[in-house]
Amino acid sequence: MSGRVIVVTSGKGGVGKTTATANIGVALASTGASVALVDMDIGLRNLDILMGLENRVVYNLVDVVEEKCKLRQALVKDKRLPSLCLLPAAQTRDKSAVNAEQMKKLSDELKTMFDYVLIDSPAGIESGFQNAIAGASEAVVICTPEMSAVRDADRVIGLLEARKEEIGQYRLIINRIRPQMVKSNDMMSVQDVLEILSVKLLGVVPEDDEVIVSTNKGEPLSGGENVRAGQAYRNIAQRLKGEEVPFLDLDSLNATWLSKVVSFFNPTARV
Amino acid sequence: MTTTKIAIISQAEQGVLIDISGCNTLAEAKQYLTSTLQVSSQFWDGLTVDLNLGPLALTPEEVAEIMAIVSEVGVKPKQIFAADNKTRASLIASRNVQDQPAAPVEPEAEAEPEATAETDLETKAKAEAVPPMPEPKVETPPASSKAECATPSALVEKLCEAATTTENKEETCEQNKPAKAPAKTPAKATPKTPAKQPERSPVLFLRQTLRSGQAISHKGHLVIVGDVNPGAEIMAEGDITIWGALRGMAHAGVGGNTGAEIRALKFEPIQLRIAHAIARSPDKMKTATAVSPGPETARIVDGKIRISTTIIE
Repeated sequence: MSGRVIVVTSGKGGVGKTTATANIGVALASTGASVALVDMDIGLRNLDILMGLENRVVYNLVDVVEEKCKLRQALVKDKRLPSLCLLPAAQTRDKSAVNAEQMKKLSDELKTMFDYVLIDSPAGIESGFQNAIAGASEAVVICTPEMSAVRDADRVIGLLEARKEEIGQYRLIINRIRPQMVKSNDMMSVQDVLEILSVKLLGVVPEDDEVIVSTNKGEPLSGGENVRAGQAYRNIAQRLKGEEVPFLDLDSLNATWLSKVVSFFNPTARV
Repeated sequence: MTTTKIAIISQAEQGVLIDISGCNTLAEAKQYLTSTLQVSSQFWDGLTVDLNLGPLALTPEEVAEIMAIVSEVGVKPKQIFAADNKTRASLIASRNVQDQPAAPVEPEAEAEPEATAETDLETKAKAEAVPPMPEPKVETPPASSKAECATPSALVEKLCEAATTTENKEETCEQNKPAKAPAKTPAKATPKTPAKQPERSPVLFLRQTLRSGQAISHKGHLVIVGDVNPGAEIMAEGDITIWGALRGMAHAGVGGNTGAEIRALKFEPIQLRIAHAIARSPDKMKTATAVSPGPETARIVDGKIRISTTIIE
């Protein structure tokens, strides 16, 4: 088996890399694919908390790289999905604990074991980022509709373009968009962002309070029904698998369930 | 378990030994030093500190880098141990910069004179850049053992070995009761060692909160007055006692001591390890009603970790 190694990166911090990694991973795994999530944010480990697997971590990525344990020993199995595994980062070390060559070797090993290897990159474009993209063949760039995030995403895309031989394709996820603010011209729209970045869009994730709840609970929301962000991540997972899925109708997201039914039967009704 | 990269070994009246002989690279050594020294910054005040560089091969600049980290928290190593000839030459080089006439002469200094000469200027620049440069001094053989350890390198290596692994410790200090072994070793070198030995395993006493990413590893009992936050890791070959909340990972009895215990005022650990047993916290999110019943102790009962409010069984 030769899986796909996909790095999730953004340049800017706090735009939702880890949340996206967890949710896409859960969404992919719930379709039956085997998925490994790799936390590359050494020293600022978070992915295990989002996955609710913090208490099961014994060995970590650095232990694997330093050959203190076998890769299989360090992989933490998800408590809900049997085909989902997490390779946690080390918390008491820093980015210099691994190098690009070791990461490449690790990714190569992982892709023989899993259909998808999702690498959660740290913020920034320094060694941590370079290590994260070292073994990847695809990239997903996360960006929020803010000038600063777009600027950083642009920089990252530039760096990814420079490694065209290794990273075949890179696609964009626009995270935390608020359709109402876009409507009132207070927020950049999907089109505005795409115009600047001119990359292929993988998905748009609306701002959703449920994300905060699920982050604190350690339960990624892709599994849950009726969650807007969860639906968006499920769509993204399907697009990663190569399926054609229409983008969410952001305008209708603000509407309540009832008003959607009303407007379905009576298109002139505006709530 | 992983090998100890850095250990703080208390040496009773002799202060403490910071042992980084488990580190393979300079980067690793620097990282562990930075994180560990930060943890215990107040702890170092007025303490006699020795430093064991182990087998690291360092240039004078690299030695200066290590010293910069150490001096940042106000630690001035009294004695520095190194097993590598190059490192020793570097230490001597940086000592020459400091121009200390009282420092003992090392035969190895002549072994690599060109290396010392080449880097002298750079070392000087570094040393000036870091004003609180401690006075690195390569350990000199104590008067008593001078005869048997004619070459300082042999002695230093011996000391390093003794400080590094438990097995070696037992070898070198076999006359002593094994539980007391870690306290000794390099401390013996200094003449003021009184005859009486510590009664129990050495205890490391820390008075501060351990935060995420900070790691403490100690060859003896560990007492922490303060909280251990999630993401912090504490390991001890003996017991771990926390006068505060335990929310991170605690590993007592590292090396296989199944009699070790972990006790804390508030017990909310992510993971507990005693010797080779591991216990993890329940997956369910803590509810507001689940109040900690007060101080608790974790110990191994029938091969499994059990937590109870019983203080002494």
